[in-house]
Amino acid sequence: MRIDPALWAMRTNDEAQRQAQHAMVEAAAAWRQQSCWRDVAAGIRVFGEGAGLAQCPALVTLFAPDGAGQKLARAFVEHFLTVLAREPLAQVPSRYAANGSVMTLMLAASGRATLSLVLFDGARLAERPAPQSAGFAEGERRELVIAGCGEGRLVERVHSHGPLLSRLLHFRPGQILDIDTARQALLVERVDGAMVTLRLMRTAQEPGPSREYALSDGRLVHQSAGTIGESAQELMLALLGRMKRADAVPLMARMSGEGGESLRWQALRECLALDSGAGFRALCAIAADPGDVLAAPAGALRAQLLEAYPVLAGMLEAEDMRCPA
Amino acid sequence: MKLPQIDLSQLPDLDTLTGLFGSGNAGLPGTDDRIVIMMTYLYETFPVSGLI
Repeated sequence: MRIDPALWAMRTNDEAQRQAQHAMVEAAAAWRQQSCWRDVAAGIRVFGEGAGLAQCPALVTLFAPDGAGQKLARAFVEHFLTVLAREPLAQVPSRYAANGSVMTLMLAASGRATLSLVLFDGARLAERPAPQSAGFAEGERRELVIAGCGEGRLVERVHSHGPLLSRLLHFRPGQILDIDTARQALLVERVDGAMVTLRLMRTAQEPGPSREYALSDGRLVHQSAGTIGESAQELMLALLGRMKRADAVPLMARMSGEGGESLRWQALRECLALDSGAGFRALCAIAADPGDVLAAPAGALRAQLLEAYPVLAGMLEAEDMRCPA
Repeated sequence: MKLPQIDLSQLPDLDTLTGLFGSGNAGLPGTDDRIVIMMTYLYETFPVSGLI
């Protein structure tokens, strides 16, 4: 394995790295004071709290056709490139993500909103197989093409069943795309060289599951939790179940009645496995509420359990609880 | 009354399963994070109030 001498030197003395990072932290502090950034940052904070875009004039200006977005992107890149030219091993203090053909650098995040610079690498994009599906997640997105040209599709889920509609798009600098990400997905398929966009995103306040549909026929190919918190809670439930934490039963019973369908169902399963009596009571409450989206599967499970364990019916009778089987 | 012990694997899942956040394959809008959640339970021997 080849290790660059400059990196090797840092293994014994990290002074150079600390100096480089110090220079970057100072540059970031100076950037935050720049007038072109201060207004945008304030706008992101207001937008992230849920205000309409019209209430954030700096953001409206940023995405207007007169080039404010391009100027901001150029100012950001030039500001940090100056430091990188001096300290090539310093790290720009912005979150970044790269998946091969798309690189994202997050300039700001506040509340539900993020502002990012996105780079599409044409050569890497050409190596990838054509997309088979499109992803949808509740939220809104405004995207401005800063530089570069390309082609893609705006895929739209118009009906709850059936194929997705798609419209060919030619990307060019200055183009603005407004996307309702719950029903629209942007697929960038071909880029000449590289294309850079400025992307403003805001997730929904309480996003439902993210879904992925096949482009060919619109069938659901994947569904995942809409928030990190929901997945974390699901993992915690599973852990408490494996630990056989009987003291978590009341919490599980309560969780089976609140929140997203998937999390509720997992809470119900864990509750039933840990304490069949408490779980069955929670199950009957769900099955008995015709307005509950889980009423049908809960009813089926209730019937299944009553058949397998008649003692549960006896438990209900003993408690004089109405539970039509 | 002796209530049954029900095995978790005998309890059905919903018809449509929901994966963990970020588990999709299509590039979803946003930062496209793939999550890793690590949980460490310390409270049995180290009360939570002691950490605050």
